[in-house]
Amino acid sequence: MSLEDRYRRLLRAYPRSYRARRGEEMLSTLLDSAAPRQTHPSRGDASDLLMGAIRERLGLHAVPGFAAGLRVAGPVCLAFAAAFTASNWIAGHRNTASTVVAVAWLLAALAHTVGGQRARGLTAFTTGAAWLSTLGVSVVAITTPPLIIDTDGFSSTVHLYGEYVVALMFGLIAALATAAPQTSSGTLRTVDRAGVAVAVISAVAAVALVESATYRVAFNDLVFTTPVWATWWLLAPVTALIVGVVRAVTRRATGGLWATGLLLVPLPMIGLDSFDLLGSWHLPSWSLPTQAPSASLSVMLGAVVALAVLIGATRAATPAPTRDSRMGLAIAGSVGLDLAAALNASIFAISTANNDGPTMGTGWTAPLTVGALLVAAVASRFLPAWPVRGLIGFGLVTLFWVVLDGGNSSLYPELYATMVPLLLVALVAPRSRGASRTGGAFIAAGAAMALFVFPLADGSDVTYAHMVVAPAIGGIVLVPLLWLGGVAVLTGPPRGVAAATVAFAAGLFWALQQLFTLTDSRALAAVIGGGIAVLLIGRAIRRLAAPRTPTAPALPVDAATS
Amino acid sequence: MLAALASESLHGYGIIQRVAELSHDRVKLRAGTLYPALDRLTNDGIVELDREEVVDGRLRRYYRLTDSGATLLAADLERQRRNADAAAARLAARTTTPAPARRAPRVRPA
Repeated sequence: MSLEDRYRRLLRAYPRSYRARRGEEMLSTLLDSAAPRQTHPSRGDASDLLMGAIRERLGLHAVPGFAAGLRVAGPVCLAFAAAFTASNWIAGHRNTASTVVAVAWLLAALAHTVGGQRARGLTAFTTGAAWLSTLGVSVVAITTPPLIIDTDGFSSTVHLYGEYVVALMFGLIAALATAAPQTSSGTLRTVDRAGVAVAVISAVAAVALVESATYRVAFNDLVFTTPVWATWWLLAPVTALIVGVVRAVTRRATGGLWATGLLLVPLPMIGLDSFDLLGSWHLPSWSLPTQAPSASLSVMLGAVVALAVLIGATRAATPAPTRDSRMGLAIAGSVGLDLAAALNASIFAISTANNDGPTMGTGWTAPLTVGALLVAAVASRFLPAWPVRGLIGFGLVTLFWVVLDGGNSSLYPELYATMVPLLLVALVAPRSRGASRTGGAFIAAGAAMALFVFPLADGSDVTYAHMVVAPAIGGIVLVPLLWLGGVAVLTGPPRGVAAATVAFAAGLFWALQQLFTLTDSRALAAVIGGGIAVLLIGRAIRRLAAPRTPTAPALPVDAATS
Repeated sequence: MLAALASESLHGYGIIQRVAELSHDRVKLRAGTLYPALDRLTNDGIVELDREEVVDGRLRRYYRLTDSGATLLAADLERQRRNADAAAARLAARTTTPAPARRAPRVRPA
């Protein structure tokens, strides 16, 4: 196979239309820049092309500073994932699954810290492997709880979700970041490698300290050790790391702000996990770990509502939105429609499998909503905007009907509540063929979810399937996807404000949701406090990241200089 | 990149070479980064397609700076020059130690 064939194979990662437009030209540039007797694409070129293809497929190529932000956020997220899984293990949740996951993430952190720039391939491989093992373990943990038992004899699924959702989310950023173009700054490399090591070590040390002080929460006859304080302690070094890294490297505001956005949006998830482990947080339903996934959905809901408000505000403030923000909105709309359709269809599939018709309303409204949304999602690929908007509007109306009629639909309040803002965003978003093409993947994810849940719900305990599996998969699969789409929307002008507002609103929303189900003033105070802290951190980082030269119209050259 | 295209139209590999040259090898563009940047600059009307050539069976597209791109580059250079002048003036005003030799303003590769 010649060099040309190898490059052609790499270029196949790009969407077909892009290849038709740019493929030949890129190929000649690649061949022109190859060394005389080169037979294989260089690793740098290969990862640059693959990352370019991912950005092209996600529609993120047009987003200024994204790669730079990813580069800053990646190592921090790697530290998060490693520290979380390791502290979980140290705190006593020891079993085969948690050991595999913790070791995998620690290896990835080690490869990053020791190998650095020279061993990028190794870091990418170990990070990817760690992410996949976490995904595998969480799927196993959810579907077959008896297989994974803690040393204290209690089913691990109860504790492990939170960690795994957090590890999956942060791990995704870390894995993506390994494909981002690397920086030439030696200082950054040292700072970020040292930072990962410091963050992991301090987290592990914190947990070990807690353990030696035998901090335990007694609940009935069971005694749980908990890494809850360690989780909060971890925030201090990691936040310091974020600020330090951003300060050290950000020459251009956009990269730093992207990093802030990437890091802060999922931050409420950390609190979610801690509270989940603190037995008193949801005593009434302790045996059913519904709080973690439903809270993750609330975070998602909060983020969507905040984004919708932001989009409205941005539109009102700027009569002609920039191409970037329109593209981001188009992606969010397309993803939102696909997610809503998939969510709705999977709920319908589970309910049908369980023969609990009332859950879905009185007979005919539910299939109507499911049908309208699925047709809208598919039709958005080829029909013009207005018929699709009509279908979405129809789906929204019947959705309210289902909820009002449903009687039992309180089983899924957060799922229904999530669909409404998703559909509202889809209703107002401009359409873009590029954006909706990526949505196909989300539809597939939704279909897989329905197929996966269907037999399980049919064969196993109905309550278990309803209360645990569907929301848990929703939490694990949908939250990261939606949140990626949400980050894409944050390309409007005041990015730092936007990121901080989203994080704050997500925290607040979660608090409100908890308030309606459980009145725990401590939790409310903690969440609002956390939200304010996030807002302040966002502001501080924005100031640090602000350009040091007097402001002037900046040249759009981020992609070139980053 | 804009500076690379300032005087003449270049094709992809030409831009990569010129950027490396202008930045004294500090900035190494790769194809996966170059083309998204070209897409954006083209969409923003800063750069446009000049001509296409086929050399040894390979397609080469040449790009050039548009008039508005040239204006933008000039404005940015002016801004950087003013910043450099202001900094140099401050440095010259230092009385305690002799000012070091003035270095040429570092132009960001664009």
